[in-house]
Amino acid sequence: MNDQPTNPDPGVTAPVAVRAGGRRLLWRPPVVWTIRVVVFVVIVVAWEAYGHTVSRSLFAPPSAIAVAVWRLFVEQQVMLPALAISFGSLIAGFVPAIVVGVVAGLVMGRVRMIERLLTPYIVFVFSIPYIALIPLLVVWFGVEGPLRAVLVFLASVFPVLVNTIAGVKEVDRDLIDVAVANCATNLQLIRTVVLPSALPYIFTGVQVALGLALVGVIVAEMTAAVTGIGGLIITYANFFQTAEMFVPIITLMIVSVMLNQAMLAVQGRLSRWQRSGE
Amino acid sequence: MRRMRETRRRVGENVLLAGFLVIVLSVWELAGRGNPRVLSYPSQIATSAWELIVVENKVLPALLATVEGLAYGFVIAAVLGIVVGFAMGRIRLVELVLYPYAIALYATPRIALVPLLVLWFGIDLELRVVVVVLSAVFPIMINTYNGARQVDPAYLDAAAAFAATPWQTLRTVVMPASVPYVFAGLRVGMVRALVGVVVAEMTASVVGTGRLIIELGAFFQTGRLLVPVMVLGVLGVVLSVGMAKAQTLAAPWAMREGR
Repeated sequence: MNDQPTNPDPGVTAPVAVRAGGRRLLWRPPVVWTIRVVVFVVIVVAWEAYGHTVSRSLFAPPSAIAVAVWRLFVEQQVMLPALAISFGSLIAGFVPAIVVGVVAGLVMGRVRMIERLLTPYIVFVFSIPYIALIPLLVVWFGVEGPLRAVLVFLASVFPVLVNTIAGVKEVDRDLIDVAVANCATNLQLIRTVVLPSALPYIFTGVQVALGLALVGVIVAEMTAAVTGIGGLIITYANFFQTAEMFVPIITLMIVSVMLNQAMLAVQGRLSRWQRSGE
Repeated sequence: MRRMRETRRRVGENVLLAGFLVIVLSVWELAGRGNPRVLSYPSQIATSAWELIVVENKVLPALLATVEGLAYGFVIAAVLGIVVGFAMGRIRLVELVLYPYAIALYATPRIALVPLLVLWFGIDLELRVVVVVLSAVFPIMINTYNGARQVDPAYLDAAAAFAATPWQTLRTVVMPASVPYVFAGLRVGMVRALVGVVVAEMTASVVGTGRLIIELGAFFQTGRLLVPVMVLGVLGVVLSVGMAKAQTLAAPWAMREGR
């Protein structure tokens, strides 16, 4: 795998580079980065200028947000505990969602009967925006603790399940036949053939699910239990402390992007392994 | 002979499905009667549905308000997402300027912006439309962008060889080739839009299905609460089936499962 030439910049597709041979010079890294920086500066300056013309309770310029960042992170130290709470709920719901989604997906993908029996119910339940279940879930689980994990679970299990089923069905028939011919047990078949070939699908599902899980945490914290990052956002909003409100929002953005990038990096490795296996 | 066996298998399967439905409903009914506040049960939900939908006529107006916000917001999101997605996918400068921000917003739960949006747009139709647009536009945009970039280079070369103008290339090569991606984006966007409109209604609005759920939930009447919840489920099913149908009608060559 290592001796194969690799695309130096996977972000750029070949056709652009080949077709626009002359214009390729134009998009050298220094030019690209200059444009990126200029755009960023323009946005910040425009935001700052506009922020000074409207009421502080409706909007906040970057300078006021920077002050609020210092206040919330360093002076009051509310951000890190809030992040820890949100992360706790995220993991408590997301990990079970992956496990249940993958296991149920393997079973439903392999056993047609079970798939036929359960699919209508699963489709219907997951067509309900899970947010609409919050009042009911409050009755079942109370406002504290498990409710947030349950919402994260509901928000994220479906894509994992659906993608796993799709992946299991796409497994090469020949490979299964070989395994069966060699008297593989069901468990061996799953572990050595089905799971590896379904893995890219499963991973796509997990990546989609991560985004939905983040939404689930924030929604749960904003509507049911006022705590964590979502709780901070709604609290500052209620007191019209708009500069402070931007701090958890921007923090959430940065964390989300970082999680997403990490996911893409893992997926990139996975797909390389997949390709080299062909 | 083969045909008959096939039909018999079909009938057997449907009987099995119906039997399973009966079992599910019976178990629910029995369990729910023992504990109506927590579980409710099918017959109670049915009577509540009759009361809420026909006698009190609360569901239909709420549903209309929801669909109104959803429709305006989704159309705006679709147009905006597809246009910007194609622009980012085909024009390098647009990509450089917009893509980092688009992908950052795509990864962020936009729901976090709802409190801010309430400050700016109030709690009426405008808010619902804005929340729907924000929820739906980024999946559509990013999918369209990916579609526009993954056009087979051989087709692009062919178009270039025949001296196609950029507009002709876009219309005859890039757009048809991107259709599966665009529809995948539209379908994801539709799901997010539905979640968005319900969140807006539950947290801020005074009308709509989400609001009705909050109102009924406040009384701990689980049977009544489940009526709008199930109405939303039906709406969700109708919308995703509708999107799939729209795809077969608009682009029968592109019936590929998108993500």
